[in-house]
Amino acid sequence: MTRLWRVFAWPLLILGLSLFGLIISLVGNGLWDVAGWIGLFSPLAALVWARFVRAPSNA
Amino acid sequence: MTQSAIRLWSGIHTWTSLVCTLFLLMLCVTGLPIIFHDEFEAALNPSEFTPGNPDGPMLDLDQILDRSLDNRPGEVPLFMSFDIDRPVVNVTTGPTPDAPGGAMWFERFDQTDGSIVAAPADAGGIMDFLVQLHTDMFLGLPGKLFLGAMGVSFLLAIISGVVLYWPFMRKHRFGLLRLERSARTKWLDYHNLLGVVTLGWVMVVGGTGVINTLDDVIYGYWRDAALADLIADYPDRDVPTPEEMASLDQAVRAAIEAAPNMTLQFVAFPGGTFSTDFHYAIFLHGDTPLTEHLIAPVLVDAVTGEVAGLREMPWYTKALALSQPLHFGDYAGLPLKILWALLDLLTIVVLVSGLYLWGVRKGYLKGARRRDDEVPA
Repeated sequence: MTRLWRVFAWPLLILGLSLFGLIISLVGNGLWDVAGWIGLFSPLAALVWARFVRAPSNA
Repeated sequence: MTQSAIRLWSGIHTWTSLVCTLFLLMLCVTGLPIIFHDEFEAALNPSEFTPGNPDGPMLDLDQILDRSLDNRPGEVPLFMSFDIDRPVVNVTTGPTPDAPGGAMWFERFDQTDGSIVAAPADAGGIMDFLVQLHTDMFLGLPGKLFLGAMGVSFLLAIISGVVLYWPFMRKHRFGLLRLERSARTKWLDYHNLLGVVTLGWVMVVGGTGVINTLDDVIYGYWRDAALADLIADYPDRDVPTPEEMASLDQAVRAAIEAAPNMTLQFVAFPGGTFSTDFHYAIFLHGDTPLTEHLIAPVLVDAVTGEVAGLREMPWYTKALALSQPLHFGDYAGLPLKILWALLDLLTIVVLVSGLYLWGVRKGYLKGARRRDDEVPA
């Protein structure tokens, strides 16, 4: 169970942030839109981190 | 997870993916420029619209309707819609009240003098072509429903992919990218990482895409189910001709009065998908960021001009209405569109790497031998 949690914790967080971003921008304008951009940026942030921060120390 | 369970999910993932990958690639590639269709149109049409008679009185909607029918002799009106930022009224006509999309004629009219406003430039119709390919592949309803089925297959591929993420990743920390290893291992890691981080976006865009393929079906059902009581009182009668119709301008005024706090969006004429055979359906939308996507019609008898009242839309047409912005990504400015495009590109990488991994496993492509901990997906 803890291992399952460890594998899916980050994916679940990014999933949650993405869905939050998609919905929050739909409900309001202005700051709500900005919150949406930030939420939906999380998949890209994770990718950049994995490629440039985590990957070099991978081996 | 047992080996046989992994093999089962792997089979599901392989086959649901193979069924839809080429169509999904087409959808991702055509969808990419469509995200920016507003910007594309603005760039191709730098000159601003100037009204023909800016200081005179506006023409009323009956006059605009007359102009449009003079312009298309023998046709009947199907829709009328209104530009937000300029005094332009758009009229769609067709040979019959239930004419299919391909037979419709769309024209823009300057409401200050009734003249025709030139269509925006579209670089040889490239955007129309892409939208049509993306929506139904020029095959009408069957094409639309087929793409919907491909979308369902894609959603199953995503779910099975998430299940398979577990056996691949259970011995690794999140973000694994073994760049120094064989091409196969490297692309397997990219496939897994990109697939799992884009999960939320891709499920929403895929799911709403499937819902959007059902729009004709959903509105058809709504018309038959929710408006049935309105036509119960009518004896067998033909759809009224334009000459028989009551004043549209008065009908629209009455509708606006009947729906305070709502904004006029479009008029559907009798006999089409969006109305009964006997009513104008005057659609309005709410005036908050959320409710501006939600439309509701005021039904007005098209012969007597009698207002039958505002109809709240049922949940299934509301779900469809909200599926549109969530599919198009056009509801939070250019930054959202750019994110949409980047996530679309990442989805293309997931699709192509998936195809590549399948090719390697089947021996069609050269690649490193897989290791025991690399279960084929």
